[in-house]
Amino acid sequence: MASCVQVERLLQAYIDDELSQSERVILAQHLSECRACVETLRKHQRMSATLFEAFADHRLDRGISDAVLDNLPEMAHPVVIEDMHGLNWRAKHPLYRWRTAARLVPLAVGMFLVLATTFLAYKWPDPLPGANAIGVVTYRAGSATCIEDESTDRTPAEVRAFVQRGQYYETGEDSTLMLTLAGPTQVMLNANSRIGIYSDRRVSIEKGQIWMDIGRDGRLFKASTPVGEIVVFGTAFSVEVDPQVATVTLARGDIQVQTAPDDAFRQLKPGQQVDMRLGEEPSIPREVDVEQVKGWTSHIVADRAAVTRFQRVIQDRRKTSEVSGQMVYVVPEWGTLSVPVKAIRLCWRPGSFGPGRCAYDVYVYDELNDPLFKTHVNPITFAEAEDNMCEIAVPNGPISGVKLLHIRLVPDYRVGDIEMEFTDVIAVGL
Amino acid sequence: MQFEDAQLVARCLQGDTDAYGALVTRYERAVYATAFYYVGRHGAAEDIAQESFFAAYRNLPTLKDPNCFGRWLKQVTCRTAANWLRRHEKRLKHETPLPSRRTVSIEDARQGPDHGLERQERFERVQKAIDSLPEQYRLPVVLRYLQELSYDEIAVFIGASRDEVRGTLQRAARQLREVLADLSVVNAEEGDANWHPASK
Repeated sequence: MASCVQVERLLQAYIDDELSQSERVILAQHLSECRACVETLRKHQRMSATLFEAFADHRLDRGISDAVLDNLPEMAHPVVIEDMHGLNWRAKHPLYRWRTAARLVPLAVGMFLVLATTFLAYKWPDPLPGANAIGVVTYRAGSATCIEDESTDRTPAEVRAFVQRGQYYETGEDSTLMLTLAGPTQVMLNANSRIGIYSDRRVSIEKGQIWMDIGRDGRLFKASTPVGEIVVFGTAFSVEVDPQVATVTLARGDIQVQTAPDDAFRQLKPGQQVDMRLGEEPSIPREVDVEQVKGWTSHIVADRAAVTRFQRVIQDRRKTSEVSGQMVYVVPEWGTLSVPVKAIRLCWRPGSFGPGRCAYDVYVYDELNDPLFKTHVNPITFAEAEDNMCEIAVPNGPISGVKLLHIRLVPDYRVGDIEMEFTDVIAVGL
Repeated sequence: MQFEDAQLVARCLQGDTDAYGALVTRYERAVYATAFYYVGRHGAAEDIAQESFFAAYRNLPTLKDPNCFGRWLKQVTCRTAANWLRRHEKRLKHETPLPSRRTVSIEDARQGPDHGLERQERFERVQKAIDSLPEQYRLPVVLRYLQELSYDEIAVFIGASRDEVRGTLQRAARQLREVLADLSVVNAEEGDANWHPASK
């Protein structure tokens, strides 16, 4: 026997004639015995009747299909459906459309790459004029020629022309020439002079009279002559080269001259002049009037356009480095060198990249800046050293009787372009 | 022979307008009732019903699952009705609610002005009672009592199962019975025990 609660759930469906056969029988049985449910049913009927009655006036009493069919619009995208299965499948897989698009991705990427390559090929900037140049010809008077390294062709040295590595410049009778190299370094050639430019920090003075004003950009500058070499630490000086003798005059700064082939060397102070002869030690420096020596350069004024060009093309791309030809003054630990010095000890920062890659020339002077000896430290010495230090023995036996040692370490760029980070240089006694 | 919705949709897509006519005939009452549920007036509801069928026909190719045509049509109808209401928002705001001429039948007119007024009043109270129902009950109630749709038809149109529709209508009826109790008193005396199942 169904309960009244269960029966109440059937009442509305009963009125709407939506009951199953069994439910109808159960309900009829219950109603025949339960007056309360009969009352409830009556209330439901009344309510339904009220609703039906209230809506009766608003009911749709005629079909609208004719009106619709008479005015049917165009279908948006008419499609022919071949199979309902496919339609349903696509309905259940909404990402289907993207799969078609995904197939086109490799093609699109390829086309993009081709287009981008074409675009870049057209738009890629041409290399700058003078990209490899190291300087500019900034003044010329009279006839001066430029000779390429590997040819004998002589071309006139034009003002504003770029100076390249490996070029030679030669001046004729009554002519002067000025080159400005990166640094900035000014090189002035008097008549009948010839200079070879190996790089912006290394030149070869072959003959004639040349005035150089070296820019202090932190890198070592070397000028070689037939009779010896000049190591420059930022300075202005004059060189006059004959086949037999080279006369070097220092206007300011600090240079060191060294004659070939015995490596005899000497340091110059401003206002001093020295002669270098093949196979001989440099002469004792003598005081001279520098203004008189450089008198011939007074009329040389750099061409304005050439200087502008130099600043724009050459000087801008140079970055000043911090390293330099180092000079180290050594005072022995015990104040005076009471015991003979047998070796020089070099200590460097652990983990330096230098060992095995760079070499140094070591010049040693006494307290009066008179040269004592010169030696060369090669990469293997650095590489084989232990505890980040090495000792260089004094070549001709221990030195005694000096109060102070000036030790100058000059990197040898022919071996490597990097430099050591020295932490200490010490004299070692017997 | 009765075609499934999906078959009729497929034939429509192939250009058979008669198939669409069959779909219109099948769903016109439900669509009209839905439109009426939104706008509450006969003429506008009929316009919306037609517009809905036009919109459905235009967008038929976008229907993803043809088996769900009824449910989709209900959404189209809701959108169309919402658009209609938005379009006529200004006009409706300033319109004085008048009893429609259609609701005053000749018989009512003969019985005097008060009789028609009473019917109108009763309709408004029924409307208010339906509006007081939870939202998910309202549309099934309107579909059932306005157009006398069977539970199956309602289920197909609103996308629910037949049992859900039956439960919904049962609960809605109980609430309506309480809300409309005093209104039903008018008819309480007549035909007391002569209850019998309504038959279609």
